[in-house]
Amino acid sequence: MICYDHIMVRFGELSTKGKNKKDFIRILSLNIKHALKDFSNLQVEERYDHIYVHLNGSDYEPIISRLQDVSGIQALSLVAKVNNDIEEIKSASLELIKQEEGQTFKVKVKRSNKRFSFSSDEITRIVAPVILKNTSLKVDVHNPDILLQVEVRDEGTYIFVKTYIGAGGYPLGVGGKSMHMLSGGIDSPVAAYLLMRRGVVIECIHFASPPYTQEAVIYKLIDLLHKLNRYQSKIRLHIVPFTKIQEAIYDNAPESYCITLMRRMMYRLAAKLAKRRKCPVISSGESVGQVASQTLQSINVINEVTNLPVIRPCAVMDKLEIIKYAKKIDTYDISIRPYEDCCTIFTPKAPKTSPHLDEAKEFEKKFDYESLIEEALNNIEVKFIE
Amino acid sequence: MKMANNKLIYFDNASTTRVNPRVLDVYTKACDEYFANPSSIHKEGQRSLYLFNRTKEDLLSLFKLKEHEVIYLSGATEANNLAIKGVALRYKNRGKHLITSIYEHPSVLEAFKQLEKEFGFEVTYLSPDSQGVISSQKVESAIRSDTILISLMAVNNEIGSINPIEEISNLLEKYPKIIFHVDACQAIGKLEKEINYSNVDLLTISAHKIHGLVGFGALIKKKKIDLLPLNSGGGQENGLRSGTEDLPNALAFLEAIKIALNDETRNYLYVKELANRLVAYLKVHSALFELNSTENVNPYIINFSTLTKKGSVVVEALSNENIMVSSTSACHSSKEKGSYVVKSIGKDDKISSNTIRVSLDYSNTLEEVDILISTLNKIIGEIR
Repeated sequence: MICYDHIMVRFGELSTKGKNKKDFIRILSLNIKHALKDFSNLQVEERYDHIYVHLNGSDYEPIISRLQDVSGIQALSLVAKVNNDIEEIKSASLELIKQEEGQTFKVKVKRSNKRFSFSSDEITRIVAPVILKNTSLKVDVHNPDILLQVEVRDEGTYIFVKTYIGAGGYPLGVGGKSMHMLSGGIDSPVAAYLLMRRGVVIECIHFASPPYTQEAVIYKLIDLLHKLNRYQSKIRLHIVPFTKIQEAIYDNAPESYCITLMRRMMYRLAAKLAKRRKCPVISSGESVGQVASQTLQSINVINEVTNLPVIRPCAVMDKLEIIKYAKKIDTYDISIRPYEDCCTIFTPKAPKTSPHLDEAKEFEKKFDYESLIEEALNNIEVKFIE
Repeated sequence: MKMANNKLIYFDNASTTRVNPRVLDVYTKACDEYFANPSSIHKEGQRSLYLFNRTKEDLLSLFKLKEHEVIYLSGATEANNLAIKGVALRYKNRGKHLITSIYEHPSVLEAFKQLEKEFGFEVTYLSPDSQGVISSQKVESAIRSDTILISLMAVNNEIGSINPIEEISNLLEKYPKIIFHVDACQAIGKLEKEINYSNVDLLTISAHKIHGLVGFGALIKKKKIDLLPLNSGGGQENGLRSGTEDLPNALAFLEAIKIALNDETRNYLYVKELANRLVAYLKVHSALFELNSTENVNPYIINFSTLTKKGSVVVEALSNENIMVSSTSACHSSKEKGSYVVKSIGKDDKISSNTIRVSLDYSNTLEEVDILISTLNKIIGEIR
């Protein structure tokens, strides 16, 4: 009896990568091995076009589901391997298609082993009649219920019917590292996930203002990052003591400007920490227009403090789209836990939606924020979430 | 904020207490020596059964109760549920009117709400007076011909007010059809003199409020009262609470009760001194704090509200200084609800949203109270 013994991992957007493709595949292969480290008995085999996971008798479902979290994978197919023998191909194809539900089918053949004595077309014409004769399935070449794929390669022939969609994007690690601003709300974990999916490793920076923010927020962040560990197995979290800066702002600036100045201070801290941690960019969960500090005018005034690129993956998403992602990555229920973060406390009744840069600078002159920033940077608490 | 005080100061004893080493000692020894199942018929099992029943007799004699029996269970929540639903569902044919108060613990309130919603009972919720007390007159005036159950707490867990349980239980002797349940979790071992519960029909007590282990408690009930069991199973505890009898916990619980009752008056006078110092400070600074608990009534629970700062921020700041107190409100900046208990004594939203509960214990010291006072002073000055 034939059974599925491999998972074929198909790559995402690697065709544009030219000579770097090899490195991408190597990193993806390492990521796959790491993701599957809790399963014993598996082998990961790198090939030029695909990566194969040899199941060696293991149940495929949990493995597929784990691999669907690994970025850089376009699709996953469950494959059965047979020898390059037309009779074996015939009987295996029939057996596998019988396990499927549906009314119509199509056979698609690819032959990279040009020494095999039948052409792709010939193989199709040999396999399809066997199925027609032995099942009640009918052929539909445009929109089949079941797509039976046969790939004849040097090492054997792979037959597959079941294909699962992967996470897409690039293998984690090929995109470098970003200093990601994590508040604990709905947006910032989603932004982190989207970056990871693009191959970017993140380190997180969080601003804590005890006693105005609660210790419970830190546990919330840990829970959030645990969810993100599915995509990045180890995440560094920098907790910056922000109380003194926040108090200084409220002592020296009118209420309406406090949020603007607070965000400017946060970006200054993030930029300094990014440089220290060798992150070429900063990222955040900001979404255009969502709150007063996220109007274009506000973003302009706030962003002025750094020349590092700031990547905002959620920038143009609607809240509902962001929530959809948050539910998909399972962070939503954690994010909505009701704790105050440094953005919700001290919230002015009428924050500026169109702050002016010269005014913001004027207020900042009133206190020595540089030394407060230095002090905060020197008192960062670091946690590793893995 | 820097940690000014390295030693943990624990002023949250109404929510739970540290386990007394003597209690733990009894527990571990019992786990080692008397682990056999009291329902087994072999020699070891029978010894366990004997000891198990002895703990119940001893417990009843500590409270000087002659017409009662003990049901061990997982704690006050289970005891309250069994008492309230067990009575209501068993005696529903006698009448469907129930009486309780609006400031009970959620394990009482939610049980009543379930009976109202799912089983068609009618519930009268009594309000306390401004001192947090429910008078016997108030109870009597709510009684109807179809009233079958009255449930009241002895001591309120948030504001510490004490209800006249003895007086009410004596009054209810005139109403033989009415069953009287008392949740005494915050009262046991924490009064000047223990209440006489002999006319109380059902009594909830819990181990972890008196330095026992969390996860154990008892419902003490008059023998003549029948309850509908909520758990079905092997028929332990006279069919009222199936599940293997927990002898080590029963022994540990008895030890905790013994200690609590034995030292009750001495502890009370000691804790009163601590409370007096804190209350004096709060009263001097009446522009900053408003006292919600009544003075000179129960020194174990001091409840006050911050008038100039956010209560939850003060609690967090104290926590950062290693002083643990409770904020009775689950405050969120947007949907502030505040404490329903503090509201029940007539305080407004602002007061009830900024409450702080300091719950004291004999293990606390005057020095700790002084540190609390100086830290409060500092925090109120520092925070925005």
